[in-house]
Amino acid sequence: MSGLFGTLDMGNRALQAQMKGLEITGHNLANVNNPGYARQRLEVASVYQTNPTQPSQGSGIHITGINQIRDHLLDAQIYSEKSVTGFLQAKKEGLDYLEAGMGNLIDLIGEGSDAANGASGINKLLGELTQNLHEVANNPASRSARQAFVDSADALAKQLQGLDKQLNELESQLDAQTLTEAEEINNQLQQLAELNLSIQKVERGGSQRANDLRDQRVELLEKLSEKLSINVSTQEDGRLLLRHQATVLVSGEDLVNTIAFETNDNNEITLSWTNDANAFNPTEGRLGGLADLKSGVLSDTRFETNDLANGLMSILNEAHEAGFATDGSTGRALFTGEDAAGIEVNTAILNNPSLLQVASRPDEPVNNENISAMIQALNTPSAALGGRTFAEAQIDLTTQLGQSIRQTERALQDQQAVESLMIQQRESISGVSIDEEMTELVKYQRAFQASAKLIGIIDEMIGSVITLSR
Amino acid sequence: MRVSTKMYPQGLLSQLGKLTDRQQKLHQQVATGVRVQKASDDPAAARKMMGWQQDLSNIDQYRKNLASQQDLTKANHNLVGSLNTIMNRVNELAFKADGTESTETLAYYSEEINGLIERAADTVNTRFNGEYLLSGNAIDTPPFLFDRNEKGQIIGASFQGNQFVRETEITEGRSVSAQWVGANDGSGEQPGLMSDTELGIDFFRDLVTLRDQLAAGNSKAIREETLEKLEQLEDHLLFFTNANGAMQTRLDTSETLLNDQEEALSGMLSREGDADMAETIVRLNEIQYAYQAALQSGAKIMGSSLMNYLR
Repeated sequence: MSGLFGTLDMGNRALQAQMKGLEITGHNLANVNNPGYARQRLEVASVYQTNPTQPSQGSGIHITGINQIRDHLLDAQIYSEKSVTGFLQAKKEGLDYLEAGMGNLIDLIGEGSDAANGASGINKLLGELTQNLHEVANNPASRSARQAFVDSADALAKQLQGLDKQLNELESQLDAQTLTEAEEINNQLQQLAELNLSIQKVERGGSQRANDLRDQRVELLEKLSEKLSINVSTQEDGRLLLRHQATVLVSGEDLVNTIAFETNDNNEITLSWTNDANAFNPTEGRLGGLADLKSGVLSDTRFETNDLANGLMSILNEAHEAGFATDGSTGRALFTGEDAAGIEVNTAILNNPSLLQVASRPDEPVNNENISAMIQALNTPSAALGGRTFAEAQIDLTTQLGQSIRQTERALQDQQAVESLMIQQRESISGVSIDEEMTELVKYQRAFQASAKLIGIIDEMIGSVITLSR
Repeated sequence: MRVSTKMYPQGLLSQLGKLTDRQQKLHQQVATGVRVQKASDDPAAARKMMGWQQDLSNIDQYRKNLASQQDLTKANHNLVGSLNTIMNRVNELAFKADGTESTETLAYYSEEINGLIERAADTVNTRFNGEYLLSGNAIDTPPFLFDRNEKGQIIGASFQGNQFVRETEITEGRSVSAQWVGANDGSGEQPGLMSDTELGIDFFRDLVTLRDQLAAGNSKAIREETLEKLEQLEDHLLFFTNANGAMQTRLDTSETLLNDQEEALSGMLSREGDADMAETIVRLNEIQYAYQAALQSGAKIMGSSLMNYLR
C-alpha cells in the first residue's frame, strides 16, 4: 500500500507525464512543415511496487523515453534511390547542354530548300555544300559559283570546329562541377563527424535519445547520398559507420577519409581518397553521373565528330587532288588540318577560288568531271566513315545523341516516381498529421485534468487526516 | 495507409508540376505546328526525317540540273532546225541541177549554195548562254575555223573544239549530257554533228563540192555522186533531231518522276513530323481541365482539418 503521500506522488508523476506528452505534441505541431522531422511520441510504462509480503500493486506511470517514429530500412532505401536520381539528374543536365550546342533543329515550316535542309546545324550546311557543288558542276567557269562553294566548305569546317569547342566547354564544365561537388562532400563529411560527436555526448549514459540531432543527421546523409553512393551502418558501440563501397569515410566522430583531387598538365582531374589506397571511381550519385557523361557520351561524341571531320577531309581531298584548277595547276588539298579542332579550307583556295581543282584535264575551262567526281564521292559510302556516306554519318551522330537524351529523360522520370513513392511512404510513417496531434492534445489535456483532480482529492483527504487529531 | 498533413500539398505540387510540364510541351507543338523539334523528342522519327530532308534537297538540285539540260535541248533543237532548213534548200537546188538547166542557171545556184554555206558557217558557231554549243568543253573557242580561197569563199572547215561533253546529275547516280560535239575525228565517243570520220560524214566538204560542181556546170557528177552524199547528210541530221527529241522525252520523264518523288517525300515528312492540330488541341484542353480540377480539389482538402471543429 502506498498510502496518501504515495498516491500524491503518483498523481504528481502522472501530471508530469501528461505535461511532457503535451510538450511533445506541441513540438510535433511546431514541426509539421519540417521536411526532415520524424514525429515523436512519449513512451511511458506503469510502475509496480514489489513488496514480498503484499500483493503487487501498480503505482502510477513513469516516463521511459521519447521515441521517434522512423523506419531505418526505408531511410537506407531512400539513400540509394537518391543516389540513382542524382546520377541521372547530373547526366541529363550535361546532355541537354550538348544537344543545344549541336543545334540540329528540324524546321518544317521553312520553304523550299530551307525546309529541306533543316533549320541549323551540320545537316543544313551539308545541304548547302552539296548544292554549291552542283552549281559549280553546272557552271565550272563561273567565279561566283566557285566562291559560293568555297564559302560553304568554310562554313562547314567552322561548324565542325565550333562543335569541338562546345565539347571542350562541356568537359571543363563537368570538371568544374566535379570539383565543386567534391568540396561540398568533404564539408558534409566534416559536419557529419561533428553531428555524431554531439549525438554521442547527449546519449552518453543511455538515458535519453538525441532525436532532433538524429533528424538532422538523416537530412545530411540524404544530401550526401545525392552526390555519392553511401552505405550507412551502426557499429557495436552504437556509433555510425559511413562507407562508400569499401572505403570508410566516417566512423563515429572520426573523419577517416575525404576526397582529394589533383589536376595534371592536361587539365584532367583525378579523384582519390586521403587515407585509402583504393581508387575512387564513382559510379552513382552526381559524381558518378558527371564521370559517366565524361567517359561515355562526351567521349563518344568527340570521337565521332573527329571521325566526321577526318572522313569529310579524306573523301573530298582524295577526289579533289586528281583535278586541275583554271590555271592548270594541281596538287592542292581542299581541306587542311586534322580532326574537328583543326579542319579548315586550304587558305590558298579560300582566297582564290579559281584554284579549285574542278577539271579532270588541264586547259578545259568547262570540264566539270572532277567536281562531279567529288559529288559522287560525297554520296558514296566510305570506309573512312565506317561504310556510311557523310550525310548518314552526321545524321547518326545527331540521332544517337537524341537517343541518349531520351533514354536518360525516361529513366529520370521513372526514377523520380520511385523516389517520390518512397518519400511518401516515409511521410506516411514519420510525418505529422495535424488531426492526430489535435486528438493527442485533447487526450493529454483530459488526462492532466483527471490527475489534477486526483491530487485535489488526495489533498482533501490529507487535510481530513491532519484535522483528525486536535 | 496513414496520411500526414504534408502529404496533401506535396502530392498536389507534384501532380501540378507534371501537368504544367505536359501542358508546356503540347503548347509548343501547337505553336510551331511541329511534333518533332529536336532529335531527342523522337529519335527514330528524327532519323527518318533528316534522311528525307536530305533526299528532298537532292531532288531540288536534280531539278535545277534537269532544267539546264532541257534548255540545252531547246537550243539544240533550234540549231538543227536551221541546218534542216538549209539542207532542204540545198537538196532542192541539187535536184534541179539534173542536166536540163543551163550553165548560167547553175552558176546562180552555185551562188545561192555559197550563201547557204555562209549561213551554215554562222549557225554552227552559235553561242548559248555565252558558250559555244558545239565546241565540247572548249567553250571559249569557236568550234569551226574556215579556210577561204582568194575569192573569199569557204573551201574547208577545221574543228577547234574537243570531244568532251559536260554531264550533270539528274537523279542519283545518273548523269546525262544533252550536248553535241561539232566533229568527231574518231577519237571521241560522241558522234560529230558536222563531220564524223567513222560515219564518213563531212557537211562542209560536201556542200563546198556541190557549189564547185554547180559553178563548173558538172551536173553529171552531182547526179551520180553528190546527191547520194546529200542524202546521207540529211539522214545524219535526222538522227540528231530524233536523238534530241528522245533526250527531251527522257528529261521530261525524269522530271515527272522527280516531282512524284518529291510529293511522296513531302507527304511522309509531314505525316511524321507535323503535329496533328486537332488531336494536340484536344489534349491541351484535357490537361487544362485536369489542372483546374486538381487545384480546386486540393484547395478543398487542404482547407479542412480537425481544428475547425474543436472549440
